[in-house]
Amino acid sequence: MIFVSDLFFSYDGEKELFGGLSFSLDSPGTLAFLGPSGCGKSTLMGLLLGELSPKKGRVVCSPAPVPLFQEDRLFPHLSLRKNLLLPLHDIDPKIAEKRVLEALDRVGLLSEADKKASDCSGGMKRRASLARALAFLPESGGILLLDEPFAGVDDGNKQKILSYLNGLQKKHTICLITHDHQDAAFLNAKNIYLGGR
Amino acid sequence: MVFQKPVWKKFVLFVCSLAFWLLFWHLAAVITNIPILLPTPVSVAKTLFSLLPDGSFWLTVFSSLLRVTAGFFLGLFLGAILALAVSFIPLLESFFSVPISCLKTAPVASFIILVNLWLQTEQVTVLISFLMVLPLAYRSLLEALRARDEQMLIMAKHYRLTRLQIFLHLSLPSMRAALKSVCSVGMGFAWKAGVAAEVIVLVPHSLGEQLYDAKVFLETEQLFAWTIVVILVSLLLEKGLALLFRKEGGR
Repeated sequence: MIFVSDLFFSYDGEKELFGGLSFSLDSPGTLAFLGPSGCGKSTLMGLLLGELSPKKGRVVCSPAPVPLFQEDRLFPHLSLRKNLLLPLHDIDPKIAEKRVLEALDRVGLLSEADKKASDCSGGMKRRASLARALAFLPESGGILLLDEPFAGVDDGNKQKILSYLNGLQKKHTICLITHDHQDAAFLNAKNIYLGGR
Repeated sequence: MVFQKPVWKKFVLFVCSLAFWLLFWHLAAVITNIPILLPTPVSVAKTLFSLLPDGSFWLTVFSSLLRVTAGFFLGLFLGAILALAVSFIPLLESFFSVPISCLKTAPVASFIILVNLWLQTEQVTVLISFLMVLPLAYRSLLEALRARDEQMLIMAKHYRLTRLQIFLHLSLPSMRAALKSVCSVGMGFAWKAGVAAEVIVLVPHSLGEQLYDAKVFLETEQLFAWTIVVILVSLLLEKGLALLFRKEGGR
């Protein structure tokens, strides 16, 4: 469940963002946050993750969201497989391995599982980060926060991932931060425009 | 793009520079003509080579080396432990700040004399080398830990990585980079302070004792020869550590 009510936020001395934004989603589906650069899309992600506190209003996300950050945030010295396995330390290793390989397959990186993250291209790292989020997501009822998930991803893989997300949103809540209206339309998302529009 | 000089050019430049300063030293010795104050490089070299076949020479070098490196690694180890402890419990920084500041600022001679009152002479070298390296290792490694990528730490929190995973994959790589400079600077500190301690407290079978004896008996050639040994060992240690880190970095 995501519940945001009367949201105001500002960084020290800067202009206020969101102007009392309110929205909620209590069943699986997709919310798309759209708007120009600097309108606060990534700030909203920080608020949903609890990394930032609103100046005014309420933000409730339950269960804790699984984020895909704008930066890849992979351990460069580890293989993609090992990067994905790290968060799954508290489940059976065989099941964890299966989930990791499935997630890598969904983003078209199964053949690159043992490649070091530092040796991967920007697009591959992006897809690997997405795979990590997918592997970490619970079986159902999770919240997936995706900040510009397709930056640097080629069209073929993007379509494949979008199709997978389309199925995933039947069991999970997806928050998609994007510039691309077509991605939001593909997922039949509830659009939320930021930046006063 | 940075253009580097070829290795052979660097070597030729080094040899030319060394030759120039040896010549300068030789001329100064010939002009002053007082060997007890300034012997020629040739006579120092002869003295040095006369020391080499003697077993006690190697015993002296290795016992000093052993004591200094023991102190160095103890300081490095405890510095790393303290830095890690402070990174987990920031309140501890205030607790450690007083002794660490004392170690950084107090003259090394004061410590040597003080420690000599408490410990046996052989142990003084180890403790002084340790005390030289400890604050350097602590400060540098703590800064490296604090410079860990904040964004990666946020990721680790949301993906519920364990403390051990964060330590192995985030803290250790940060510390490894700082370790290189700590080793390079710290080994020099430990070596100089360790030999100074040996001179002051007269540790048996030590480089410091040899330097002291040479001074007392006005054996200036011996004094120069032992000083050259101290410099050569220091350079070898520095180059050895640099090579170790280069191999490590190449992996």
